[in-house]
Amino acid sequence: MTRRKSAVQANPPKPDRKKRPTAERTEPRRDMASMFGDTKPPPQAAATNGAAEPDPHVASGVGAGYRVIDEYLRQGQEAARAAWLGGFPGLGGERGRGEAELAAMAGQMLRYSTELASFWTAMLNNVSRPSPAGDIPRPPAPGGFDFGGPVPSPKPAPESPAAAAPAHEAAPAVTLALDSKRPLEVTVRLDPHGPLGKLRVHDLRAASEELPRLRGVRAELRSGSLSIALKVGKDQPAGVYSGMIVDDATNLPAGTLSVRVR
Amino acid sequence: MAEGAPARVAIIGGGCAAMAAAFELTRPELDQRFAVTVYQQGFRLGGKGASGRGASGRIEEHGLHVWLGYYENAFRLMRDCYAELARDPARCPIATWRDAFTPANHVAAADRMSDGRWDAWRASFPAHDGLPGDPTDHYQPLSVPDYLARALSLVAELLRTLEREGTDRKTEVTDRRPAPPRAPDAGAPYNALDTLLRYGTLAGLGAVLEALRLLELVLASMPVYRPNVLLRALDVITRAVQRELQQYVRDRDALRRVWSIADLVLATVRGSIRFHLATDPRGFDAIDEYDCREWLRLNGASEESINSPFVRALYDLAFAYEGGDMTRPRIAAGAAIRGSLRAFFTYKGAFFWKMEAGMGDVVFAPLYEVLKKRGVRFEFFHRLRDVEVGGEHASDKHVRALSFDVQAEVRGGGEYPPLIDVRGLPCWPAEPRYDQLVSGERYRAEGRHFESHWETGRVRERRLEVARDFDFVVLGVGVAALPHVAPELIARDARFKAMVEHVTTVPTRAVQLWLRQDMRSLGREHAPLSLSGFVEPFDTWADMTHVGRLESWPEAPPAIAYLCSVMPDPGAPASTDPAACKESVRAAAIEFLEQHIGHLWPGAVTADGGFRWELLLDAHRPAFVARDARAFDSQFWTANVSPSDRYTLALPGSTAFRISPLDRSYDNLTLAGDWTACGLNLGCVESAVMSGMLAAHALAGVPKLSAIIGWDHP
Amino acid sequence: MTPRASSVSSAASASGLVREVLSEYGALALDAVREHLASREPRRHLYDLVTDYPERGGRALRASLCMATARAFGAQQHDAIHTAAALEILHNAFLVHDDVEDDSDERRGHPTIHVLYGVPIAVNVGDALALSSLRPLFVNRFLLGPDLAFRILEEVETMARQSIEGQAIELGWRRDNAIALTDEDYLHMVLKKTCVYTTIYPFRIGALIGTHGRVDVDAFTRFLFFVGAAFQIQDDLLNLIGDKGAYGKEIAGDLWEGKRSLVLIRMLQLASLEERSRARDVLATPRQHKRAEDVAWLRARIDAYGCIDYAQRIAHGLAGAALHEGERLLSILPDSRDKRFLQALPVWMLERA
Repeated sequence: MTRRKSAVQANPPKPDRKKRPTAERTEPRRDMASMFGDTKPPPQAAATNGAAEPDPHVASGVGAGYRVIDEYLRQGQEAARAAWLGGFPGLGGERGRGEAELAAMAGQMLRYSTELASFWTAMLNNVSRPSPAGDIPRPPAPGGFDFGGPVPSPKPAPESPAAAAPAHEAAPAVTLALDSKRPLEVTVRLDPHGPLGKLRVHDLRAASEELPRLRGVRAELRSGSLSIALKVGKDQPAGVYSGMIVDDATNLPAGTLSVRVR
Repeated sequence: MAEGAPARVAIIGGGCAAMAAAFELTRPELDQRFAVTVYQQGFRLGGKGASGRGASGRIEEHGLHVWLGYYENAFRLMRDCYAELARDPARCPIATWRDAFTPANHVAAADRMSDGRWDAWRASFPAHDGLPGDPTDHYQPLSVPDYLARALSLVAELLRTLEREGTDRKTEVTDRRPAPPRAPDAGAPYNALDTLLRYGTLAGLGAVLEALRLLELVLASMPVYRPNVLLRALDVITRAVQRELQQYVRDRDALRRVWSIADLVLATVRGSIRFHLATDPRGFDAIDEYDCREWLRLNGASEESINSPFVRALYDLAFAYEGGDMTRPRIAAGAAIRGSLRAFFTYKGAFFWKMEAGMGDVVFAPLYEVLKKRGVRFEFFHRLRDVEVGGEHASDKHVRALSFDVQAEVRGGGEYPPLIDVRGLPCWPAEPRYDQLVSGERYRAEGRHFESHWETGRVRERRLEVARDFDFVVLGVGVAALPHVAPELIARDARFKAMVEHVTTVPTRAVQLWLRQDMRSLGREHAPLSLSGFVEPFDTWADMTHVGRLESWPEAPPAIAYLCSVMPDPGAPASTDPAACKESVRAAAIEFLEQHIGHLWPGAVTADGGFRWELLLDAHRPAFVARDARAFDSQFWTANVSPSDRYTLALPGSTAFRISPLDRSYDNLTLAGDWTACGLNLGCVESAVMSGMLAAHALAGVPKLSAIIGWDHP
Repeated sequence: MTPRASSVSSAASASGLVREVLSEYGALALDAVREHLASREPRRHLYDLVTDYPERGGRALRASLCMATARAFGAQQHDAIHTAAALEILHNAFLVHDDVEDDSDERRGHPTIHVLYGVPIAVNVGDALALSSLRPLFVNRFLLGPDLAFRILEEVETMARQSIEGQAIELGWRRDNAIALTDEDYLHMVLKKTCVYTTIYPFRIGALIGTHGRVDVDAFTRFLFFVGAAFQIQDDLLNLIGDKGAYGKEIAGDLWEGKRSLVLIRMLQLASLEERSRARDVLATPRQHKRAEDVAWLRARIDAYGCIDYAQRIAHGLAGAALHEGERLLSILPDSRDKRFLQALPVWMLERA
């Protein structure tokens, strides 16, 4: 107690210092979509009687809401950027090394932005890996789930539970009926565990949208063997045309078809 | 201190930021709430904008100052200042703000042609409605989609103009496909765009313009949804625009110029979509980690476009070279894109505005006069040495004391009267008014440089204490000076230390020439306001002949030219020799005139290419004609290497380190300067004025943040 | 897009639409949940109990939101069903553990699991439910493709983690007996604890499913936050003023638990020094030792300071902000019942009993 007293005597209290006021906010509002300027009244809820006077509680509550969500979004953006930038040496200030990686990645992003490409890679991943037997749940067998369309044709052994799928099946035999004056190379992949009902083939497209598609391709699965019929006009430009084979009823993928026109 | 007494504010520094803060804090509406004292090293206000008058009343500046038509806050400050000053037009050649600032719509970039010749790539910007600084009671910034839409309409306008003026057009290519459908109604531009693009290519100018229009509508009316479709549209449009331009523009150099503009605009739009700038709460700040050219390249701009004279000129005008090294052009992409979009799309009146006299005369003398009238006190010859920090806990940190060196005493003890009269205009002199100083004659004989960082002479020290001598501090010095004027603050505060490390500056150099022949006879038919992008060491020059009438030559010089550029960094102040730097500028200028000026002013060189030294006018001896390079010694040149004179950069990754004037870590201190987090974050007058307004807001609560144009902005 | 005026006048039909959609999708989701919650041994202390909460009904809001969003953005009928089931299962897992953490007596009109079977078994049941939510997500690999399936897994992980972080904030308040909270503190906690997994992520995931991963889901976050916040505030209000039969939990149960609702936070802000001291003591008391008269006193102070009205206004404001944001964002969708369901959500949030 004595010690404190003498400290007080040694340093007589200064007159109260003036201090800056606290500012209403210290950051600029950069997101125009949510700007609640002084001139814009806060939106009225539909359920209220639509009173003309903006309620101060409503306004402050909504303002608080925007502050909270904007901070959340900002942190999310920074975390994402940190994760992204952190993965590339040379970014965030240094020139040179990072640029090649960045350009490569940007190029990749652009390539995968086309509808066909992303769908295509997903398809390839799906189809080319054989699924191991047993544990991974398969799409529920017909009868267990209503897909909203006509019930697809039953599988060969409808009473066996879906989990007991055979590990591997031999790929069905393939017959090609081709009507073309141009040399063709046809590649077909069929998912051995895919749906085995009536099939439909999407129009085959080339990489460039300017080339005409190959239409009217038919595929049929009958007693274990697949037959494909297609026609290529003599004016068809050279290129690789690819498309999906799907189950007609459920639109689930059954395989892929690719034709190289020389 | 009694409750009702005015709060005493010590403003340190005399540049745009400090003066803007002083102006705001002493507005009549505030009713003398604040008693302001400005502490300034040396004998002039202005900081990097200071200018003086030498022999023959010639204006001597730090460099070339142009104001842009989007500097809303800076112009409003000057308009209010001139209005309050109410000078008599009969007696003063610059009485109103329109006398002080005049529109300039012609600029140029130096372009090296395919045959090796240098040409000027000219641009004329159309006059826009209104005047900068016009009062608004409802300011609504453009959103990112708004800017993008305008950028696209610029491309469309480019195409339309070319088609109208069309040189040597190819016959219209017949296209078998049916014409693309017109958008059914303004509410479904998205679907229309999709339909249009399903054709794969856009055949003909009509289709390209339609696609651009639809893309504009889509951008303006909805959030960024399905960005991949918009990007696909942009790709198709880009190819089509390139093809159309090739049809309409035969000349290779002209095509290159026009295409690079379209390419850069489309890359900016593409990048804004890919980086989700429309919805990012940080707006353009989100891409400040990237260099601008790097970001454009990432978004598909070609190498040729990002190295075009257009881009080069923009970097030159912003001195955006790290360390002053021309091989390291760097500027934060977000700040640069934001500044460019504002410059191109929100200018009022003219794109550029030039000053009719030196910046000191046009800006700082009027501000000084108005502030004096309002009761502000000015303590010149006060050089800040340290800022002492106090407070036991983190919540109590404050500035406890300020230490100054008093460089000179005023005779008679009152305030130093800094201005002189030149042809009716109050101006700042090039040297201090020695007759007003104690020991003035000695200083004159020594040629003491009061404004130089290296001049440490002092008459006495002076220490100001909080509560006794001041209540609040506005620190408005240049960022490079901070470690020298506030070492304790920097040492004790990690954030300040980081800021000073990352928010860097570059020295600049400038030369001013007074010439015996006018520009036309020197070979420049229409001299633009400024031309950038030329060679080192002076890549930018401007025709400033118009200021001659306000100098006091017997006859106004037929031509006046200002040249400037960034300067390679000589290193830390301790190791810098300012005299040597100045000498290097002299040598560089002489070599430049001998070797390069002939490209710009063909009439200024002899038959074998050497400079015609007899063209130079000596302000001390206007009749004298020199015949060799010694003529240069009569001209004006400067190496701006003093820390406070160095130009603030916006390097990639540095924005995050700027501290805002609104930051309240020290409850009686605020910052002001174009190096603070002021919203615009570029080195320019507008940034400085905004920061000064923010500093005033920090202390007074006014001006309201919504009144600072461009503060709330993507 | 229905103009605002008609949505005001047909608020009743908007709510009716929401209820209809919830009921329809809820039934589909429950079927899917049943499919995925295997029934095998041990039944007595695990798998029979695992289906208890899901079978008690409930709104299936999250599942419905996910499915409706997916369809509004263009998905096929059942593309989102398994994901929706996963969200419902996870929601029930959280409920089981929440009830243990809050020591609640009742859930959906029946005693809580830990009241019926004890805390240890209840905790284990909650664990089982949480893990069971993974299984339905694996089906997406075939249904939606591996890339999208993986993206959904990432979204669910983020969602669950943030929700747990939000719960930690709230539990921390109770453990520390926090008294000086602000509206922003509350909103931030609600954002993470409730909105993230009730509105934000179910919508996000639905939109990703509907557009094969190509929509910019971040653009909708604000809208969904406001919807979810209005929902939670209204939920807390019902706890105090709702009809017990319709609400399903004991009335004022939140006060017994000391839950920091917006109403309580407001009362603590406005209370006098003595009142705050008393409130602090009451809130510090564990539930079983609280006295009825203390809880009644809390409730009386809440009324005295108009906190219920305050919270209602805030909820209205947030719903209004949600309508404002949603109007712009949802206008890009083609018209469909699912789109109208989404548009009607902010109104329904406030209307429901």
